[in-house]
Amino acid sequence: MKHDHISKEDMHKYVTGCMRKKQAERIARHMESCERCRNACAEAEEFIRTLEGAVIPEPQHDILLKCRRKLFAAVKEEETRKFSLSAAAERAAEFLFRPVPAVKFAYVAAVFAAGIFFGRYMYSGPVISSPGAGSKAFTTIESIAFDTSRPGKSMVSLVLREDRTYTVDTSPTDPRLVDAAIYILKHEDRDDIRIKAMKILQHAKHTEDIERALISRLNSDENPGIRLMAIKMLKMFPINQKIRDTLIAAFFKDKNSGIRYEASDMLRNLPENPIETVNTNI
Amino acid sequence: MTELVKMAQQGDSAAFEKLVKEYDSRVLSLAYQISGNRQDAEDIYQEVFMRVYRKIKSFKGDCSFYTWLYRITVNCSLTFIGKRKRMSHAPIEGSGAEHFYQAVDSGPLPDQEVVSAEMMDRVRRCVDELPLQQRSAFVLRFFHHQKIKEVAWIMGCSEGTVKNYIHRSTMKVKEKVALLSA
Repeated sequence: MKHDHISKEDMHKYVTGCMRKKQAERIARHMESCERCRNACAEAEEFIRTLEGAVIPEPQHDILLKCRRKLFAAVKEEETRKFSLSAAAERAAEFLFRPVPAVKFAYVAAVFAAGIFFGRYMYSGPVISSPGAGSKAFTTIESIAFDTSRPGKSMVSLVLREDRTYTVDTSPTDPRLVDAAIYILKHEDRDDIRIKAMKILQHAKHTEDIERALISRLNSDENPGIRLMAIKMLKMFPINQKIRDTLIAAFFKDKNSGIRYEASDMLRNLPENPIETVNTNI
Repeated sequence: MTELVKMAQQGDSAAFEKLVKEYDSRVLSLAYQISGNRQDAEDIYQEVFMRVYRKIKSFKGDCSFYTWLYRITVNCSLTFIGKRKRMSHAPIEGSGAEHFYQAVDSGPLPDQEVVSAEMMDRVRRCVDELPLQQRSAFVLRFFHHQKIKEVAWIMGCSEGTVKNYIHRSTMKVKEKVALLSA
């Protein structure tokens, strides 16, 4: 740098204090031995000193007075507006929605609670309910979709329609869904929907209601596939008198040979084979 | 924090008026120096003090009241100019500094001071031609004597960026002033 003088730009950075410390030190060292750069520096510094010592005149007094008058009028107007009814409403809204943690938390909690309340109400009321009060909710069933890839999670999606369409995602073990499936089996005309309702019951815990529904299907369903499903599902239940009577009736009266075969198979496994008893009685 | 600011924070409107009278001339100057237009400067002035009136309670005294006020002024000015540019493509003419600033008492001045006043007049004209950010940094640093650190806080950017703005703007101004002097 001894022979290469400091560039105009670097000199400018140096005098305005916009240079890094190390570079500034190097320039200061160079200037100790370079008169030309020292002069250039003095000249640049003079300009900056003039700028730094600049005294900018005040704005004209009448402009300031005009601005103040306008401002104070606006402030007065705002003050009177503060006490008006609409302003009070605005302040109340601001208070409710301002980001104070406690208020925010309460607000979120309230929304959450309302969500749960209305969610439950809508969920258990019109869509999945025991046939009775909510039975009018699904006069037409659009579809039931199964997703077996997510066991234990939302495996069933029901789309029900009356005036509106409801979609419900739930687990097949949900007792309200079981109630709905039983209701579907009783009232639904479409075979495919009834079959899907049967599939819901396959996943459910065995209860008396399910047993009754299966017996009813086996006795009266027009679709042999559903009757077959019902008899196969009844296999899983402990055989009682009602099931026994139904199986005997199916063995003797059902038009479908597969069902008759299943019935005989089940009856044969009983300790006292009722078919033989019946045959003997005949 | 000054007593006046504290009183204004408690809703004392007389204290607020005093506060305005004490600080408004610098706010109006800064708004004019950034916007380069008297009408805009007056509008920015209104906006700044209305914001101060509404938000004075949020001033915690972490910095000087001037610095806080400058920050609001710069923000308002940049927003105002940005809005105006979007709304109108026609160039806004400057109203002329002689119609804005008070006339300097023209008593017998030493030669050195006459030269300096002439140069400052040229500097002011050159500053109007600078890009907005550079102009704001230059004005705050040299016309309002703020340190680089304070300018950075006021403009909401890093010290490095401010140094860059100041370096570039002073280079340009110096060159233009030299041309005008020639």
